[in-house]
Order: sequence, then C-alpha cells, then structure tokens
Amino acid sequence: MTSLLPFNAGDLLDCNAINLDVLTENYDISFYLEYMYYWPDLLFKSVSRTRNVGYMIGKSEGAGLEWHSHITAVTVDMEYRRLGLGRVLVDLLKLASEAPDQNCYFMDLYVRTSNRIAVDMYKLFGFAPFRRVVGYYGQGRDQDAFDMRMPLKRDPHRKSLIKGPHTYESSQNRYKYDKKSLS
Amino acid sequence: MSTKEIIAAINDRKYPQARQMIEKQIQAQPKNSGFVSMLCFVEFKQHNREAAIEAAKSAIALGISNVPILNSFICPVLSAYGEKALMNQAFEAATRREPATRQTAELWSEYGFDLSYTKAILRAQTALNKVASSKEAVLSCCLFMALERKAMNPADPEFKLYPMLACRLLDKARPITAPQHAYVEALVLEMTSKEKMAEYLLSPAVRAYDSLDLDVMLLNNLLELENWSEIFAYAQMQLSQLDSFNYWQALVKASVKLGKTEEFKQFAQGFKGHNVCIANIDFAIEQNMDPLPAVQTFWEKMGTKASAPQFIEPYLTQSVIDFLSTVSARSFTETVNIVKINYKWTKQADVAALVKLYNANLDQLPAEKTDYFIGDDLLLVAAVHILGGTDSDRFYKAALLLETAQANDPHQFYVRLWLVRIYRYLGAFEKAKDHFDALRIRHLQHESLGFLLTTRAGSLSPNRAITRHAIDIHSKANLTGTYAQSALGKGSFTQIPGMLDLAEKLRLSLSRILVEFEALKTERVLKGTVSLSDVFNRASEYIDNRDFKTSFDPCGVASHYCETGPRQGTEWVEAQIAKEKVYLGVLRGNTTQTPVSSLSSELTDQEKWNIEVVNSLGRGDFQWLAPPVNGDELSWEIFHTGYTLCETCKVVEDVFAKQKTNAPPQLKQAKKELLEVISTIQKAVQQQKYAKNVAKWASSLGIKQADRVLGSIQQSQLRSLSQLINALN
Repeated sequence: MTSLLPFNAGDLLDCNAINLDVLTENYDISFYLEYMYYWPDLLFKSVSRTRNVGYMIGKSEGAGLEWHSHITAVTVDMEYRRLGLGRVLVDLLKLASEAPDQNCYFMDLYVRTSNRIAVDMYKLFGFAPFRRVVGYYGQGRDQDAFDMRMPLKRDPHRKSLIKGPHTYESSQNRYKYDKKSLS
Repeated sequence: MSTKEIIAAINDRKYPQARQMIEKQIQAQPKNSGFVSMLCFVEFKQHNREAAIEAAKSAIALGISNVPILNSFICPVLSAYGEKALMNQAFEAATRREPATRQTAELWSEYGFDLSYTKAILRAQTALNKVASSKEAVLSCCLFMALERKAMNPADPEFKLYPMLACRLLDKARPITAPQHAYVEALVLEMTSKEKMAEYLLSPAVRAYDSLDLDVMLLNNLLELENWSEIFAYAQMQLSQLDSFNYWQALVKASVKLGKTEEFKQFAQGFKGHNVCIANIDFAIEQNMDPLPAVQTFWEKMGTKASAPQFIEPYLTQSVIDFLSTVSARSFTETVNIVKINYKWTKQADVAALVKLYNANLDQLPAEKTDYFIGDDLLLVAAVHILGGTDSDRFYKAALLLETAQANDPHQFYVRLWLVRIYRYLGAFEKAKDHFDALRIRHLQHESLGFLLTTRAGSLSPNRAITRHAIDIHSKANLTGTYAQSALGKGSFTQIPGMLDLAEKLRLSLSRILVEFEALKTERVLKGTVSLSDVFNRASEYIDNRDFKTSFDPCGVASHYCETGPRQGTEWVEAQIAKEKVYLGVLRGNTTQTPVSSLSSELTDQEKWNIEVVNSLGRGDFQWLAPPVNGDELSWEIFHTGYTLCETCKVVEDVFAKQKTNAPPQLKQAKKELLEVISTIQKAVQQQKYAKNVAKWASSLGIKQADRVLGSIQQSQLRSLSQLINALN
C-alpha cells in the first residue's frame, strides 16, 4: 500500500532507506530547501504505511515556449521497485505541470545515455530523446546525457520535441539533435 | 565608568571585569534595563544559565525599548537556551509603549523562525502587516493564526478570537488565485467550521488547482467529518487519476459504512496494482469476513515482488503461513519472500539451509551492477539470527556471512549497516569506518545515521575526523529557519510547517549534543584544547532524530544487538553536563559542587565510575576507585574502559595541577594494571582462538575466504589495541 503525499522538509530525516541507494544522490540540505520554497507544489513522496519509499523533486523554468517542468530527482526504495511507483510519481508531476498554476508546455529530464534501462523506462512513461548533451555527466565530463521530453496538454502539436528558434541552449553545453545521436 | 567601557570589556571577553562594572551601574540605576541586559549576556558567557535567565526576566520586566540592546544582549542568550516564551515576552515588552518598527518586527520574526515558535512569528507578522501590508503579509498572518491555534488550549481567549480575526484579514487578500493561497484560506475556514472547509475544498475553483496539498487536505477533512457519501465519490474520482492508497483506504471505509459493497467490488475490478490488492484485504476485514482469499489473491499477483513481505506483514496469521507453505515459488524472489515471512513468524532459521540456498542461486546475481541481489536477504536473515543467539563466536560468524554477501553485491547497504555495528562491537574500528565510508553517508544523513559511528566514539576510538562531519551538519541547522522565513516571503505556505518542524528537530537535536560530547572526550583523550562552552549553551530539551529503524530487522527485535553500551538519551546528556559543571567548578576553585547522579540506566559501568571520581573531586575529598574491567575477551568494552580511564586521569591531573599538587600515584598504577589486562587480550587476539572454530563452521557451509576475512578483522583489532596502548602509555 503506497500513498502519494506532499514531500516536505520534515521528511528529509526519514529517507535513509531511499537515499542509501548507490544511484540516489544525497544533496546538501539547502538544495532540498530551495526546491521546497521555490517549487512547493512540485515535490511529492510515496509512503508505505509510515515509511517513505520514494520521492519526486521537480521544478519549473524557462521562458516562452520553453516554459517547462523538470524532473530533478525521482527515486524509489530498492525494496519497493517494480511496482510502478516511479511511473506514478512521474504521472503526478505531469498533473501538477499541467495544472493552471504551472501550465507548462512540456516536462523534461536528463539521463545518462549509457543508462539504457532508465532511458527505456522513460520512453515507456512517454518521454522521447530530444537532444544529446555532450559531456554532461562524469568527473571528466566524459559521459553524454539525453535531454528527454514529454509534451504536455499545452503543446498539442508536440513542438517541444522539434528544435526551433525558441529552443534554449546553454552556452556551457554542446548539443546534438541528429537521429543517430539520439539512438 | 561608561557604557562604552563595559561594552569594550565584553567585546574583549573580559567578563569578570565587565560584570563588576555592570553590577556597580545596576546599584546606581536599578531600573536601567540596559545594564541588566548586559548582565544577562555576561552570565551567559560565563555559563551561568539560571543567573542569565533571571537577568533576562528582570530586564524584560523593566521594559527594553532599545532594540540594539535587545538584539545584542538578550536575544542571543534566549535563542541559545531555547527560551521561546521569554524571547516573545521581550519583544512584546519592547513594543508595548510604541508600535513596532519594521526593523523590530523583522528581528522578532527572525528569532521566531530561529526557535520555530509560531506564536512569536504570528506576533511579528502581525506587526509587520501593520507597518507594511501586502497580500503575502496578510496571508502569513492568517497561516500563523491557524498554525498557532492548533497548539492552543481551547480555554485560551485567542482560541475563539483567531477564526474571526483571520476571516476578516483574509478579505484583504482576495481574490485568491493560487493553490498556495487557497491552502491558507482552507486553514482559516477550518478554524471556523470543518463543513465550510470541505465545501470550499470541493468547490470547482479549488478543484481546478489540481494541487496535491489541497487534495490531501480535503480527504482528511472529509474523513474527520465522516462524510461517507462525499468520500465515496471523491475517492473514486481521485483514484481514476492516480493510484494512491490513502484513497483506497477511504473508499473501503466509505463503501462499508454506506453498504455499497457491490459498487466497491465493481470499481476495484478496474485496477491491477498492489494497492487494490491490499484494499481488497482491508475490505474483507472491515466486513468481518475471512481475509484469507484476498491475501491469496494478493500473493498470486504480488508474491514475486520484493516488497511483498512488507505489505503482507499486518495480515500475518497462522492460516496465511499455512497457505504460504503450499505455494510453489515462481521465482527466487518469491522463495526469499517466503523465507523472510516464515522467519518473521517463527523466529527460527536454519542457517545452513539459508547459506545453501544463497550459494545455489548465485547465478542470479544481477548483470546490472547497480541492481540488488535478493539473495542477500537470506544471508541477512542468517546473520541476524546468529547475532540473536548466545554463541560466543556469533559476531565473527555473522561478519563472515555478511562479508560474503557484500563481496558479491557491494552496494547492499543493509549488509554494510550491520557490518559497521558488528565491527565496532568487536573493536575492529578501522573496518567499521571503511564500511561506514562506503555507505556514502552525507549531509543530513549524519544527523540520523551518524550515530552508527559516533556513539561513544570518544571513548572507543577517539578520532577527530569521525566527529567532524557530524558537527558540520549542525552548523547548518539555523539555515532551515532562514529558509522557512524565505518560503514565507515567497508565499510557499504549504512548506512552512515542514520547515519549522525540521528546524526544531535540528535545533534540539540529541545527536548534536551527543556528538559534541564525543568531540570533547576525543580532544581530552588526544590532549587537545577542550572548549566546554557549546555544551553548556544548548537547550535542555532534546529531540532524538537517530534512525534505528533503517536496518534489516525482520522480527523487529535486532535493533539493540551489537550496541556499544546502553542507548544514550537525555539522562546521559544531563549526567555529562552536570559532570562537566562539577569539573569546571573545581577548576575555578569551587569545592561545594552538587554531586552528579550516576544512577541512570543510560550510563555504562565505566561512565558511572568516571562520574564517581569527578564527584569526589567536586566534594573536595578525592577518592580513587579501581575502574571496572569486564571480561578478558576482546570487545568494545576494553576500549571503553581504557579511554574512559585516560579521560578521567586527564580530569584528575588538571584539577591537581590547578591546585599545584602532584597527581595521585593511583592514576599511573591504574593504567599499568589495565595495560596488563590489555596485553593478555592482545595475545589472545594474536592467537585468534576463535578462528579455528569459525573457519571450520564456514567451510562446512561452503563459505570461502574465511581466513582472509578473519585475518583482516584480527589486523584491525590489533591496530585498535595498539592505539589504546599508546594512549595509556
């Protein structure tokens, strides 16, 4: 039995079984608190009885057609995997991103291109690789990321998946959009 | 002498001189709150808690209208001592004659957030709203009225006043156009009528926000009202969007209350996940029916998932166990699940069979290195079972099993959590630290999990690096209050209660003061400079944020295994503070100290002994008692005895040095005698008396590399012993 509830600062002391996982990053306390005060409606947790078993940390950003929500962290306790909790957390962020207060065009996330399991999972959730961000991960910035996107209700023509004049590019990153780079 | 001279003395930390000057001024001008405030600060700096608080009370009674005085001399003291009510009184007194300025109100608010004190924040926000009203300021007042009222006694006159005031204030914040604002409006309505709150939350305008906070609020509100027909409709509507068990729970209750059993069954048929399976079990129980068929269906659908044992736990009965005995496992995960459930029920385990099952399924180790191997749970069950027994070699045997699991599945954190505990128990401190480091415990995790390494660290394995991280995190405790204040300014109202909660938990952290004592003991043993001030400035109430439940503990009885002494709590802290006060008093030449009670069950024999020796120093009739030495086998206790002896000797030497007399000869003698005991233990460790038996046992179970693991434990133990010998010499 898992319930979806808002994730707040008091929960940060009760996430050890989730955060001890090797792939789950532990951030400085200010990181979480900043998300909580900037995007109070975009953080959720999954709870089994009184135990926190997963969480989603999201944010919204961008200008014009690039206004979108972003999955910063989504993670599930190892014992509670393969139940679809990750998908439910993503669905919840989707709902919140489409809500009038956010009204985003799309949702996005970054994932290592080498993490095929995660890439395939996000495809199943409705995300598609939009571009490859060269050297985004790794200490020597030697690992690429996929910027994966899911168009939302506000983008019925799925323009967010097409590179255009509106597409934001950070000067610190190099991007590739060709089909080969996205496979 | 002028005020300037007093302030200069305070700034130069010449507190006794400052006190003399202040006292003269107070004699001349007894009604001058400024000098009394300065006295409060000086008492604080000299660790005289009661006197500082008394001075603060007097200054407040006299009325402090000078905000810089309040900010410089009163607030830091009351904040450090956690004197919330007094702090609020100080500001109320300061604003009694003249309305608060923006500066005063902001300062009031800041200290309110520092102390997570809703009453002070409310007063400050009200004052701020008067100075500069805005939509956010109005909503802030309303939010804190609602939060404050939740903690109020209904007999309090403000209990009736707040709903009315908040409703009136809220009108100034209209129109409400954001979910965060709607949250505040709902809280305000809750104060007047829960029915009105439900009506508001069910209104199309609020539903359109699609806010999880408001959804959860509505469900809880409807449950409180027992509005079953509304719950029945609302829960179904929510479940059609998101599969969340709180709605299933509500739907089950509502269906049974309304007698809509068929409707429930029909609705539930449209769902597949784990939640509906559990809801069906609850539904049977609510109807006083046999839940076994629903449990069977649950198992059929979910028995192969690793979470199945957790989900089924509340429903375990003999008939469920009997059913599981007939299940033919479809996967290795299901086999392991059944083993875990049986162990939970019977508390009996066949260790050899578990290891055999583990070894037979090693081919199922996940290809992806970041995935987990369910077989680890078999060795965890076996290890926990062994630890719960009485076998004298149990710690070594359990370590061997867990090292085997860890070698195959390096990121299995439950295995490492146990290894840290076992190695600390065995005195293999380096190995314990290696596993702790591999867990990558960072930032806030030090608050909840740091105890694994820091418990009695100063008297087990004194090492400055061990306590440093834990102390670092606490320096950020105040940050949480600041963020809560920023969240208020940003209108992120739903996050405020959580931030205040976390700020309070960190401010009154038991972990924090425990670690500070370990740092103090470490410094004393390592002969560094010891500062006691932080310890005395802490509040006197503590919140225990240590996480004992994140552990592999299928029967819920293992959390006390391998503990290095009784679990420390408030009594332990109080005893240590009292002891330090006696020590400090003696150093200052005060020989009439109140003795420290050593009766607490949170103290080890060694700690009780240490307190008795310090008490005798306090009484001025020094008595040396022989330190307790328990047993001649290697465990944490010999280190605890050794380092406690070192610390005690340091305290006694300090006192005798202060009195310009030679240290008593018993100190050297006690160290010499303990070194002889340690030498015997060291020889036994070198001979590894247990190794032959344990290696034979491991070999019979098909566990490889026992010699390597046992050898590394021995090396680590010998290094720990060498360090102890060096400290005693």
